[in-house]
Amino acid sequence: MKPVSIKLRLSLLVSLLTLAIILVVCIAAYVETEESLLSSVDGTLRVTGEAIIATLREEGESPEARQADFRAIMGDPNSGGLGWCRIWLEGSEKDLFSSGLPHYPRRALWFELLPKERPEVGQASFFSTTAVIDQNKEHPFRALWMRSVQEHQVVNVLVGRSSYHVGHELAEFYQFLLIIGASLTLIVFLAVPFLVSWGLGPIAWVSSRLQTITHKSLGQEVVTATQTVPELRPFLVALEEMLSRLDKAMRQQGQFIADVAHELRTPVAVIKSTLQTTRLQCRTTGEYEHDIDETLEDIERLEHLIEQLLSLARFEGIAESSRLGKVRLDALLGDIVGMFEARATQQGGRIMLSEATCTWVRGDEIGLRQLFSNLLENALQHGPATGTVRVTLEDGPDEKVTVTVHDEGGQIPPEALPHVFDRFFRVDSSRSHASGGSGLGLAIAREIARKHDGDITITSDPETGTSAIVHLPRL
Amino acid sequence: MRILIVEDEIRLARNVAKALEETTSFAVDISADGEDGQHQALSNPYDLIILDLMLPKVGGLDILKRLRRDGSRVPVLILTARDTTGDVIKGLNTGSDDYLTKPFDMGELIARCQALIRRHYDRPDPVLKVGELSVDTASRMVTLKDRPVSLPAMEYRLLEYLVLRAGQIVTKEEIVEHLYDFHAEKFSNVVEVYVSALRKKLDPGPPHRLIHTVRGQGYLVGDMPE
Repeated sequence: MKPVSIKLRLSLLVSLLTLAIILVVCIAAYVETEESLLSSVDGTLRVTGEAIIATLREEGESPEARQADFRAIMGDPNSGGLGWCRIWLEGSEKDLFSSGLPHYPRRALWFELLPKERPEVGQASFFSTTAVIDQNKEHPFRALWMRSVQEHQVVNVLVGRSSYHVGHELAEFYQFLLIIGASLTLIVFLAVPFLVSWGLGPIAWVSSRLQTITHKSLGQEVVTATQTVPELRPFLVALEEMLSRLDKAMRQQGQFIADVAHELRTPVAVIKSTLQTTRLQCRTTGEYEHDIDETLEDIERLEHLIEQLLSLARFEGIAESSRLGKVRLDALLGDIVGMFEARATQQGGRIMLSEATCTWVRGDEIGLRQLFSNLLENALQHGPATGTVRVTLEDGPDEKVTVTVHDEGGQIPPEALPHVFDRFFRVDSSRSHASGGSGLGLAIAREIARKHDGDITITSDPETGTSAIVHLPRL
Repeated sequence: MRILIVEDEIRLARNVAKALEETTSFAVDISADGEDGQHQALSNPYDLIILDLMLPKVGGLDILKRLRRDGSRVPVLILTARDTTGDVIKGLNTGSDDYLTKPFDMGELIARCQALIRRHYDRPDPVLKVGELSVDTASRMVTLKDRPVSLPAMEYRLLEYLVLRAGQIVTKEEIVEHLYDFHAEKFSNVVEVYVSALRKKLDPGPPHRLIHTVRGQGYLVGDMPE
């Protein structure tokens, strides 16, 4: 399913919310109007009813005078509109007084119009009712029923008034509300999308701004420029930081590829130049042999470099802690030292492995083998030929084991120390070229150590020599 | 012609030097690091410098900047493994005359070197002509009145230099500086020996001389300026 756009979501949300508000306001206005209209009718009824009760309470009045008073209160039924009145004693079939609704049958007034629940004595209750007056037309009425005690008898007073005008006015008001509500709804539906677009403007601006970013301009992008709204600022700041990190990573990658190209091209250039120079003229067998040997040496160097690059790529590719198994580190070190012993002896030097207890680490055996081989290779290459390389395995600190490969050389200048793990970094470029170093050995070693949640450091001092210290987490 | 190769890949530098010496008449010096290369480039009047960019101690571009800042007009050819367009532009804009990426073709490198030197001496035609003498710098063929003349290497080297600078007075010191590499034994009287050998083979004799001796100053090939 296609995701619904924020604009549509917001438009719908705002529109629905506005509609709900319009609806509530309309209903409230309708109810309020109805109540106020009814209360004005009720007020008239109450005044009329109270006047009748007051008349009933007047003592010493003849029944005829009372009838006249009632009539005066109710007004002329023929000209006074739609008011009507009934007064009767509780239990009596005969009315004390009645007026209005000349066409209405008495029984209907008595039985049909009265609500089921009568009010308490001394109380009054309002009710609405409808009565069929003429031509079977229903007519709304509002009535007040009062019961009061007069001379130990309960007198019922029923006063009614037409509430036709209330219904009529309400119907008009209802139409008015309908028209206003509909027009407001229409306006809202038309205006909200524009308002939402305006509100989302900064996001649109940012997105069009982001579209102009290419991999070439990553680092120089300033997306937090002037026109951003404060809400987007944190997001843009984070984005800018991410861009600069990305740029740095891409630069490093680009630099690495350039370095790889350089490192691969150089031996190829040497081989090509050797062969082309040889071909310039006829040479003696000895010269040919010499040139072929040189070419083979260069090819070996190239081979070694490719090997190193591949292993770097391989160890970078290993996901954290995958393929890690239990490795017995002391045995592994013994094995590697054994492999390098012959070469050390040939040089006139030696390798010493300190006594170590059985130590297990969690790791990749091939990786660890490569790590320590690289360190021993460096120690033999850069230490004095007849010197001693010492390999020690110790516990600590904090749940780690420490392997130190120490040689008696100490020619790494302090300013070069921070760079020894950089790819293709060589302390002395021309010297290492001659000895076949690719400048990748330590970079690979550190990559492996880090994949094992460990680390590697190098210290160098002309007097005590150079130490490569590897920390690995103990199992 | 005397050229300098600044290149830390010693074997490559030796190969280029060998190829240049075998196919051209250049005297070639090699410098294996930036510091030494800069010193050599500043202290000797080279006719061409082949410069690597990634050098120990002092970078190739820094050497080039220093040379140009000091007003050196020596042609510089950058020979490097850095091959992006940006690198090429940067190299040329720093003041190099040409840019060649590794791995390169030896023949192309030699041809470019020769072209750069011809331009430097304002001689676009690879065949140099003075009177009835013609020197083809590409094939090292010397002809006099359309007859080929065979010359030993050092004599050809001297002749090429003198003919390139035809019409100008060339001092003995200049000849020594331009014809011998750093390791050669330099005796200025050797120049006189070679000049007289060339005269024997090429000079038609008075009144039309090919190589004039300007007393107290040096030699001049071609017509004496009035």
